[in-house]
Parts: sequence; C-alpha cells; structure tokens
Amino acid sequence: MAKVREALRSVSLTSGALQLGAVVATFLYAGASQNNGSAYLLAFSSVAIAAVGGLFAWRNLAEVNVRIVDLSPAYAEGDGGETLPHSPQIRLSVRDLGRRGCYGCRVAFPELAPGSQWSIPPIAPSATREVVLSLPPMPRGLHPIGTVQVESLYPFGFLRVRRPFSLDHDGIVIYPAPLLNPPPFPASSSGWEGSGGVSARGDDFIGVRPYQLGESQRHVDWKAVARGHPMKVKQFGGGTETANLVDWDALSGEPEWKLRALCTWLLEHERLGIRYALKLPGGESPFGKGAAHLHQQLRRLATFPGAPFTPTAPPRRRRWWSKRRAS
Amino acid sequence: MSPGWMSTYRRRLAHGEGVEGVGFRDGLSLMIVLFAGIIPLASTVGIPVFACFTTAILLFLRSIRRRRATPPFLRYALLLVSLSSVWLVHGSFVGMEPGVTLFVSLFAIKVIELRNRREYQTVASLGFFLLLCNLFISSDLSSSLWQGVVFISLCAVLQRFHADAGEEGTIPMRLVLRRVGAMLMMATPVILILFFFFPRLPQGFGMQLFHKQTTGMSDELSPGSVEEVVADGSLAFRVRFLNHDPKMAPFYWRGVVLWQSQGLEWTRGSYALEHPRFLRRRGSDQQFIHQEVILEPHGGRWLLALDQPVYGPEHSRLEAGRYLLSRSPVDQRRLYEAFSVVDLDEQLSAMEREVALKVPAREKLPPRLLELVGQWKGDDRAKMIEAQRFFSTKGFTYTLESGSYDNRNGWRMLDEFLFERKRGFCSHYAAAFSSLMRLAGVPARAIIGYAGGDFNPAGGFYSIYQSDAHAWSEVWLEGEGWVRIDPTRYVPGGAEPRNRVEAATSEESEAEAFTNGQAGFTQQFPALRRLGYQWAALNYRWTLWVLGYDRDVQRQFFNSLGLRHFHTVAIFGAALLVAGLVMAALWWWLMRWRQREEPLLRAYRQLCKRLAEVTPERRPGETPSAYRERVLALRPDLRPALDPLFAQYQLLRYAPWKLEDPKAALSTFREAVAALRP
Repeated sequence: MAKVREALRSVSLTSGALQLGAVVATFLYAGASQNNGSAYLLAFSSVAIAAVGGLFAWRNLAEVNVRIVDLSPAYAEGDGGETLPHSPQIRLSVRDLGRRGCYGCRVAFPELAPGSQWSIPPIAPSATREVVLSLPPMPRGLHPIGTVQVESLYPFGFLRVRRPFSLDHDGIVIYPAPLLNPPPFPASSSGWEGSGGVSARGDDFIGVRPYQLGESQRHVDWKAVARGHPMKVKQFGGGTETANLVDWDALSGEPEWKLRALCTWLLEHERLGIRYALKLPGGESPFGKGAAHLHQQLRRLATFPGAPFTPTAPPRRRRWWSKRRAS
Repeated sequence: MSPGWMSTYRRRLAHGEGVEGVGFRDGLSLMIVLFAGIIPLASTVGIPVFACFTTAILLFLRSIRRRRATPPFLRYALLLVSLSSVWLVHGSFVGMEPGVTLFVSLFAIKVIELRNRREYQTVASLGFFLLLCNLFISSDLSSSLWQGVVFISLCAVLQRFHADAGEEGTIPMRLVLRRVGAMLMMATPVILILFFFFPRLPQGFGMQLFHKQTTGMSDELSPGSVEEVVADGSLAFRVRFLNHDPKMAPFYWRGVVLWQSQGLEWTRGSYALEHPRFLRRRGSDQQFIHQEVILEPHGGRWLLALDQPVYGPEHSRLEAGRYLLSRSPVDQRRLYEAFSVVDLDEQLSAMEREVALKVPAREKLPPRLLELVGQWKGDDRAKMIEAQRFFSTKGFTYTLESGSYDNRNGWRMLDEFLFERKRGFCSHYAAAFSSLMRLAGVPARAIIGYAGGDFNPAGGFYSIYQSDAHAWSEVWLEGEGWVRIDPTRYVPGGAEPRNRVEAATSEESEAEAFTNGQAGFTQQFPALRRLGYQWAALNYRWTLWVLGYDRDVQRQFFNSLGLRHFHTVAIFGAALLVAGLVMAALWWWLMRWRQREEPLLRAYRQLCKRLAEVTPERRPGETPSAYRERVLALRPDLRPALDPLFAQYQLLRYAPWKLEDPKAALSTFREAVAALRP
C-alpha cells in the first residue's frame, strides 16, 4: 500500500491533462447531443490512449538510476572580470536498467538549484548516459546536493512522473571569489623569499619528507615505495626555494573579505609556482603546491564558518485550489 | 512614444527571442499534422480563412527557423483578415459552419503565438478540436479514416516531442510510430469496451450543433423543383432488405404524398384527413418487406420507405396518403427500420375522395384543358388509358432543360405545358397527369420520392442517390384501389427508372449506364468498380455499427448478449471493471518484461527487501558495499551471512567473467537469498 501511495505521489497531472479533459468532455458532449458514434469513438480513443500512455509514462522511469560521477567546484561570483569558472559542474551518469529505454528525462536539483532543469538525451535500453550539467553560480560554501529528481512528461505530456534519488555526496564546493584588487602579500609575515619553508632546490640530497597530494612525482623515492614504505619525496639542497605562509591573521577586515583576499593570494602562489601553507583560525596546513593542494586549501576557505550558505527550499508555487495564504 | 507592444517587440528582437525548447523538426511535424487536419475543412471555412491558417503555419515556421518572434502587427493583421473572412464567407458568427470557421481563424493566431513547450502542448490539444470540427462536417468512412490518421499523427508528434525533451533529432519517427501503434493496439480493447458499453443518451439531448443545409427532394412539385436534385450525385439513403428482396423493378421509394393540385404545381395541402394506423407487423409474413434504412440528413421530416409503408420507426407516423413522417426534422443521418406491403387493401373515405377530386371552378380553368378531358369517355380506367395515350402520342419530349414559366397560375402553366411547350421531366408529367385525371373526375394525387437504386453486391444493400429523385401519380380505380401510374414512362425518351442491379453483370446495361453517365469512369474498369462496391459496403457497415450506434441499437446489443434484465448503467459499471482489469493486465505485462530481463537484479532487490525488514531500507542509488556497511553497523551478527552474499552479488554483477559457471552461481545466489532469514 505504501508503494502505491508513493507511486501516486510521484505522478502528477499537467496542464496538458486538463486540456485533454476538455477535449474529451467536448467529444462526449458532441457525441451525446448529436448521437454521433464517431465523436464517442474519438473521445474513448483519447481516453484509452492517454491511459495506456500513463502506463508507459510510469514504466519509462521505473528502471532509471542516477549516479554522480564527478563534481567540479567553482568560484563564487565576485566583482566580475575574472576568468575563473563560476558554474559548478556535475557529471551525472543516468542508467536505464530496463528493456525499452528511457525517453524525455529531465534532471532537477530541487534543493541545490531550484527552478533549473536539464534535459537528458534518450537513453538506450540497458545503457548509461553521462551528462555534464552546469549549475548556476552560487555563493561561497559547501552546498549539499540534496535530492536529484528525474522527471519525464513522456509520452504525451499529460502526466509528470518524478523519481527522487538521494545521493550520498558531500556536496558542491564553492570557493570564495578572488578579489580584483587584492591587498599586497605582506612581505613581513613570511616574505616572498627565504624564510618559512624548507628550500628544495639544488642538487645535494638532504633527506626525505612525506609526499603531499598533487606534488610532482619526479622526486618520489620509488624504490622505497616498492619496498612497501609510504611515499616519500627526496629533498635536495643547495638551491633556494621560497615557501610562504598565507596567514589569516595577516589581514584585517571583515571575514568574508579576508577569505576572498586569502583565495586571491593562494591563486597567485599557485600561478607563480611557489609552495605555500594556509593558516586559518582552525589550524595550519602543511606546505605544498599543485592542483590538489590548492583544492584542499580553497575548500578550507569555502567551508570556513562565518557566512556559510544555507540552502533554502524555494517557495512552493501556490495553486489556485490552495486556500493557504502565503505569509 | 511607441506603443507598448512595439517596445515588447523591440526587446524580443534585441534578445533574439524565438521559440524556446521547440526544435524546428518538432515544429514542422506538428504543423504538417495540423495542415492535414485542416484540409478537409477547406471548403467549409472558405479559401480566405484557409489561406490565413496556412500563412500562420508558414509564419510560425519562419519564426522558429530565424529565432525571431513574428511581428505583432502581422499577427493583428492576420486576425483582422481572418475574422472579416468569417463574416464575408458566412455572413454571420453564429451557427455550425461560422463557428468552425471562427475556431480555425482564432487557432491560426494561436499557432503564430506558439513560444514555448507548454504552448506547443496547447496547440497540439487544439489540434484534437480540429478533429471535432471535421466530424461536424462529415463523418463517413473516408473522412473518419483521415481523422484517424491525423489523430495517430498528433499522438506521434506529441510523443516524439516529449521523448527527446528538447534534444532534437535523436529519435527516429519510425520508432515513435511503432510505439504509438503498439499503444493503440493495447488501447483497442479499452476503446471497444467503452464504445459499446458507455450508456447512450436519448436522442435530441442538448443543443443541436449539426446544421446541415436542406438537400435533396422537396415536399412540393413545381416546374424545376426536381431539376437541380437530378444533377446532384450525392447519396440520399441506403436500404437493406432484412427478410427478403422483393425483386421488383424498379423500386419506388415513397417520400411525400401531395393532395393539393394547382395544375402544374402540387403541394401537400392542409386537409384534416385521417392518417392511417401502423399495421401490426408480423415478422414471419413474407408479405411484409422488412427494410433497414440509413437516411442522410435532408432537413425535412419525411422518412423514405418502399412503396407502400405500413409500419415505421418510433417517433414517426403514417400520414394521409400513407407516407412516413418523423416527429422531428431529419437533421442528422438516421437509421431506422420500416415495413412495406406491395398490395394493400384500402378504402377511400368520402373525405379523401372529395380532396382527391378537388379542382377549381370550371370558369377559372383554361378552356383548352376542359376541352381535352371532355374528350375522354368511359370509366375511370378508360380515362386513364386515354390520358396515357395523350402523353405518348402528342409530341411530348423528356428533357431536363424545360425552362421556367412566367405565368403565376399553375393551371395556366399546365395549359402552356400541355399545348405549347410539351417539354419537361418527371415532375411536369406527374403533376400534369394527376391534375388531368382530377379534371376528368378520377381521384388522383401526386407522389414525390425516389425510384430505382444501385445494388451493392459486396454489402447486399441498395444505394439511392439524389439523382434518383422522382415524381409519379396515383389514381383511385374502383376495385383496384390506389394504382401507381408513372406518366414519365409514356413519354418518348422518358428516362425509365430502374434498379441498377443487372448493371454489374450485363454488358449491354453496362454500356447503357456508361452512356447515361450514371457511374461514369468506373464502368470502364470492372475491378475498380468492384473496389468501389467494397468501399461502399465498408462505409455502410461503418455507418451501421459506429455512426448509428445509438440507444436503441445499444439496447438491442445488450439484449443479444443476454443482458435484457440489467440496467444500462450497471452494465457500464461492469464493463468499466473489465476495462480496469485489461489495464491491470497490460500493466503487469509491461512490468513483467523488465523483471524477466534482470534476474540478478530481481534477486538483489529481494535481498534488500529482506534486509529492510530488520534495518532501514536501501537508499536509491546506494552502492551494495555502502548498504552492507550500514546494515552491519546496526546488525553485526549478520556479517557471516551477508559478507559472502554481497561478495557473490558483486562478482555476478561486475565481474561475471571471473566465474566458471555464472548461471549456476546465479541460481546459488538466488537460493541463498531465498533462504536468508534475518
């Protein structure tokens, strides 16, 4: 019984169904008042086709499964002018386990991106289709995916069938927006050169240190790895390499602006290829560079408490039969 | 300051606003279907509105191609042109044909305004109304088939539109049509159940939408009254003899009996004559000719039946002169049964004799007429023969181009016709003969109806066309009763009515029919003609079984099923239940396919269902490992049972090639799932 209730909940009539109702009523009236058999025939053909269409509509989504393959983070929208990606992207894999394929699917994220829909090209029977969906820009924060809703108006647009999927996923990370005119990086805090880190340039082997994610694997001690030891990076001395501490406390201002400034500095370090560590009130990260390191640090900025984004459900569209007044 | 709509338009231009979410192919296919739906309406809506609709289609396609909205002034111009065309063509906005035309012209505007997916759906729904308009105009088999094609195409177009969800060109039309065909096949049992069991309402309910113009014969004789009908090749009615074919030649189908003579003009007159009662029909009696008639709408009240009817359908009665008159005008095609008797014992009442002899005073009549009838001596029969001889010998000719008469007085017209013009056709001769008989003191009346008929060997019925309209006379002879006289037969060259039964077999009559232009082109090709007969027979059955399926026929159908004692609504309720069962069976069948497809998934679903009895349900999209961990966190005691099961499932699902015998492994897995008692 619960299944039937759930099935009924996932099916709703569209305005097309109302139009069909009007068409059928008119056919029936014409048939009755004119005693015309073909008007009756048309009426009943429409009703029966719509009913069979309903079965097809339900079956169309009965075997669909949705999985998130990949999420790519994005930056919050700033002052404009930056070339950074603002639209987070979701790589979604939609699979039809059935025998007849799946048509006219649309995917929506009612909590994450209310009001937006993406159409999925038809999926062949027992096939999988991967689509990349660009979501609208969002404010800084960690946005939980929430429900993924697959819906379809197939075959005739009289019924809307919805199937919700709740996926286990952290959510989409939105980094703070970089500042167009960032404050200069304080030379005193750790300096652009020399201090604060270990120099790793030069030719003389001076020891090993643990490997950090995203680092070049050129200096990994592979022999040790082969012996079953954890990954270590061989360090060479003699040259000079700078490493900076990007410090929260070096800035003064409101937190959100500080986060944006830190983000700008991190990006600048990454661009210049300088190793860096990020110090936030919660703690300090190890030094490093590379895409993964940057992502880790930017993620810390994104999830930094203060003005976290709280997803709100969109206001429900008021129906004409709804007596409830919007407060 | 530009008007509001202008700025809206400029904004649309600036943003390149076209039609959102509707591809060109979808737009084009809908437009083709709508055009196909409008074609049969072309003659009803008139060329201007038809042209407006076509223009609207082209403008829409242009806007979708160029991704630009159609300029509003074009829309308003089109609206103005089409609305004024409605007025021009019909002179009114009220009535059936103006209503259809108005709908089509407003529909054209809606087509131009199509902007997004929702409106696409609306326009497609309005396309269904187009079918209804078609139905008002004609519902015979050919137009119904065409509408069926449009209906299926509309379904297919809608289906493809919703199948690709805006990604065009991904679904081939062939696939869509196949699926619509499959849906239609699945829907057919439900359609049939609903059609045959849905309770029909009594006739004449609600507003009468059909407004057929009066066609065919009229209920009066005057020079030229039959003339235009004879040129009309459309169907008047079809008759099937239910007990036996009377095998008489030709058939005279009684329409209206005229009692009031005005020389060459005859009308029904308004005399208080007693109308005959229906004879109790006796089904076994071969004397009664049982007919089933499908009468096309003619606007009058008469019902045609073989000469002479004695028993008619409900809501009709016999009029004085023994012809069937319906209670209401025949505005729709009507299906009824009638009984006729060829030789009938009748009495002439004094009142009838008086009316059947009624002529103006002698002083008011042209002297030549009186002189002519004065020459005829002997009894009534002798006078009748004299009159026949008069028409066959005095230089009368049969022609459909008899010309009009300036004289207003019918008796002077008669004088002019008999002694000067001597040219005419059946209505002239029937009127003249009957009037002369009255002048000679023989009771007479004139009859309008149809004569002959075209036998359809494929369907076993006769088709009678408007061109078979005919008029004849009846005179009362003592001892014989009313005797039918067809004076046209005595006129040299008079087209003798006949049943075109033998035309199918005899080459001579074939040639004759060809020269008479009766069947024309098809006479040259027997195969084509046979095909024509088959088609007409199909059309007949369509009319009988679909169009004519009304309350009475439904009741007969129920009775034949042995449901005599059940109320119609109760029967319909039971039928609905059957329809529901059919739908449930379809549902089961559709879903059964998927289960047959993936026995492994079914077993896994069963496993999850078992586990859900003791732990929370598996979330949609949750991986087997994640689910197993969640279950084990709650019920660690299940680990020995679950670990091998899940491992086996994952192996079967993701790496079946690692198994030596996947089939055996699958059945082991299923057994293990079945044996699991968490």
